[in-house]
Amino acid sequence: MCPDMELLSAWADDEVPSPWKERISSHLEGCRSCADKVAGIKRLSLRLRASGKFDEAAVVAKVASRLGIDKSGESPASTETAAARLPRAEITRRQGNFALPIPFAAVAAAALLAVGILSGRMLALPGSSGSGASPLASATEANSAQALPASLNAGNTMSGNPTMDSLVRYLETQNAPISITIQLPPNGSFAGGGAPMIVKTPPAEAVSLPLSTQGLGFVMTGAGK
Amino acid sequence: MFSSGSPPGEKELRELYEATASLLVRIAWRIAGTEEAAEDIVHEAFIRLIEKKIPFPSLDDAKFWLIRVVKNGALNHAKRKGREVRAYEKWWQGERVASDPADRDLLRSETEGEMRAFLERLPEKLRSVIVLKEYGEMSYREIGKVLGISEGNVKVRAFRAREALLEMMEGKKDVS
Repeated sequence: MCPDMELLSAWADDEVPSPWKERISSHLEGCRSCADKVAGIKRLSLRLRASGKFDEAAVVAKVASRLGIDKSGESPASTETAAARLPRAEITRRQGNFALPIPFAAVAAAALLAVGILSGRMLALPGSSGSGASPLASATEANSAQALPASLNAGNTMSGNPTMDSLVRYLETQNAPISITIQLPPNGSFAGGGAPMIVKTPPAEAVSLPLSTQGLGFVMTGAGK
Repeated sequence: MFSSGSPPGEKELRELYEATASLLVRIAWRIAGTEEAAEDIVHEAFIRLIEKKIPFPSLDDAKFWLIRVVKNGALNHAKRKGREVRAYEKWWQGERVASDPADRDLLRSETEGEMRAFLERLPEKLRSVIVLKEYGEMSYREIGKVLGISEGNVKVRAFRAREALLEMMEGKKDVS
């Protein structure tokens, strides 16, 4: 009786213990059918191993380099432990996989978020104008009261209390990357207290930047320009 | 080196790397399909090992852990790539619906890596075993440790993977 294919497969892997291993070897000498099956398994192995070539040594060396491991076995100059070297290894991650370009709209959203939170806090301070009204209502009034000239150029300073609408309009007109510095009033008195609050919800048609504000947070809805 | 039960230090890490890197890269490449992916997957595995500070009782335990992480990472990568490729193929077929049948033959003949394609059609549990066996040159016992299954189960899966591959090579049927 012939061994089944599963046993022949294990035999080809040298995974059959004695004395069965020797018995199968003897059987294969006299059984053409089983010998063909084993030959087929070995051909498959050869085809699998022969298929595709790559520079294994180069990949091993690249990973070693990224991990800061000296493959030659020489002691590295530094005596720090591998765990302590982790940040360096992290930094060497391939940029293409991990670097995320920050879209212009995201930068603008961050700036607007900061302005919104700060103005919300300032307006909520006791003694400030409109202290009797809710911070949200006061801020909305303040935002609708002013507008920046659309002709502002890079390098200009927005003084006073620029509104969110005017900021959005200004940012919308800028085609090149710009740097935004938000400067707090030098004599401002800030105190912690209350929850930060976004103070403006512009109508969707008024803002063509792929940016929307809803309730207490900014939601990015698409890529920047 | 690993008997103290403490996380591997620099020396142990180098020792582990020298003992496993070629094997890990080979397994990752065979499953994931590109050198870049293999490099990233093996790198990530070592980073995870360092980050987790797992106290391995022996070099073999650390090696099996790494093989498991690399195998899983490579399979995940292959899955993602498979979805992408299927999406491209769907689009490509749509574009070529009205084209000459000769184009389809040409497309078929352009397909490279036939054995890789066969491997990709294997169910994961069979593919893992045959890749570790054929490319990792590991014993059934080692494969069982990596995959958390018995040696007997490895034997059955190795056989079933080969049977399926032989059938695919003969063009008998697909395996799902």
